[in-house]
Amino acid sequence: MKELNPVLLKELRQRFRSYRSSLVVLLYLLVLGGFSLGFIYLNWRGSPGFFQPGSSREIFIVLSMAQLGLLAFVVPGLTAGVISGERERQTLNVLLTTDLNPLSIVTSKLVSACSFTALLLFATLPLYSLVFMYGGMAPGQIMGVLGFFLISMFLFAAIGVACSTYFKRTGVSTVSTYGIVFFIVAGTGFLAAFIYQLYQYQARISMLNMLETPMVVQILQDVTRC
Amino acid sequence: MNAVEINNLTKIYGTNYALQGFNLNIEAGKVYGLIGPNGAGKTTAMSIMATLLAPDGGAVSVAGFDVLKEPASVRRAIGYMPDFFGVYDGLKATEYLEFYAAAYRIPAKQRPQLTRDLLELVNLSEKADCYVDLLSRGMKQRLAMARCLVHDPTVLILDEPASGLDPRARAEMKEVVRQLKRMNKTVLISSHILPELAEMCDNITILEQGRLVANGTVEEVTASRQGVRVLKVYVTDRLPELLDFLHEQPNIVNVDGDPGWARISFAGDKAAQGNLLRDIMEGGWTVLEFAEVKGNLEDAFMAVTGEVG
Repeated sequence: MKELNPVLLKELRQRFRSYRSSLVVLLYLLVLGGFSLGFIYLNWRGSPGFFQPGSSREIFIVLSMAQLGLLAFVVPGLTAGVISGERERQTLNVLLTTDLNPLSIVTSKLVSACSFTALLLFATLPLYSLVFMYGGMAPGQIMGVLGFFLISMFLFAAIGVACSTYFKRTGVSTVSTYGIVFFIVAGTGFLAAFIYQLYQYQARISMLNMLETPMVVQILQDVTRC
Repeated sequence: MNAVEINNLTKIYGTNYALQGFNLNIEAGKVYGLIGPNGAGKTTAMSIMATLLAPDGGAVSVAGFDVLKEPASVRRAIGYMPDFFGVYDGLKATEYLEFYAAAYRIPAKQRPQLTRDLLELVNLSEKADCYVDLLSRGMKQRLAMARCLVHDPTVLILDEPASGLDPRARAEMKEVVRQLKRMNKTVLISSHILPELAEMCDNITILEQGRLVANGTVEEVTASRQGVRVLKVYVTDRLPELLDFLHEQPNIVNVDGDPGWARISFAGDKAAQGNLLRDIMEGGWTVLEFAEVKGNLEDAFMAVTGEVG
């Protein structure tokens, strides 16, 4: 059997041995669970005695938005220092004098960070039972969202590792990673809204221009004459 | 046979020359000491030998492999220890060594025995299950030395291995270097602790402002400075004025001082030495002691680096 890459094995050993990892999983679940239950409570308080089963779609959306927000918050923190941290500890030079090539070092760091984040994601799956409890959402839709999260997680992690490799200092790398991830998560939304508004405005303008063409004016004059 | 050959090595940072036409041949199985003040280019030269930096000119071969053309072969032939020991949190000493053994593609079955042997070599067997970040600085340095040896390299490049160590830890480190010499390893050590280098090394190379200024055995390097003698003058007061005064005198190569005394690299003969003492006393200084210091490596270093500076 092929042996696991030594850097990946070391990273996994260090990450999962530390009590901080369990703490992060606990906090992640508490925040996400609290968010979902809080949303249900607020809905229930509005109409005491029962919960609208039709609201399960809303819970699903709220849960997914919170999950994406947490991922955008956690993944840069986990990845923005993986290479720059090695450089700051002066362990990178030693690592580069071994038989390991730079690509395997970088990919191992990326895979290690992604495995921990994937653990966080899978740990939150039981929370989706809240959605199933009231029906209204197909398992396929939940799997689709999970796939979206996995791809987003990989993207955020890749950005973090790239910044960590490019910038020498972890502080600069962390700020840059959060900046880029924020732009991807929120900035693209704002951009889409802006482009949509622009499109609407242009559609209105072109409609007005069309009304002023000679043919339309002639038709309107004929209609008023009749 | 030479384990390391450095020919006309040049490295430039911006407009500053870190290394300028540096030449050095290191014989296989010998321990070489690389001395130089801060910024002399020691770490740059070592980084180039370790394939971590590309030279701007010249050629370097380690164990017969060119650092630019065959970096992978060079890496397999060297054990590199930087001047700072970075630790990984949450790894035990054995795991730390096994990680590097795996990084050098040493078969998994051989690793436990190899780790035990290396920890024994550096006298850390009792700390095998201790976390690396909890070891003392001296122990970390010795563990780093063991790490350098996991793939049985022929050439060891040790950048300031004894820096920041207490006297006991330095003695232990010295013993490890002696052990490496018995194992017929070629070792290149940089250090500021000159007397210890003199004890450990077969050869001494003095580097100043990126240039080689002296090379040879400790005896040869000190003998080569025979034209320049080192004098020490102890005075009761006005040392800064004395240093300024000495700078203006003939036959003075270099002057520096600590509270109470001045060290003079002096190129004159005995008569000139007598005249200098007379001039100092006529200048109003009360001289407590005025004597020639027996030549040693430190004095040669001070004289040589003073000449270049």
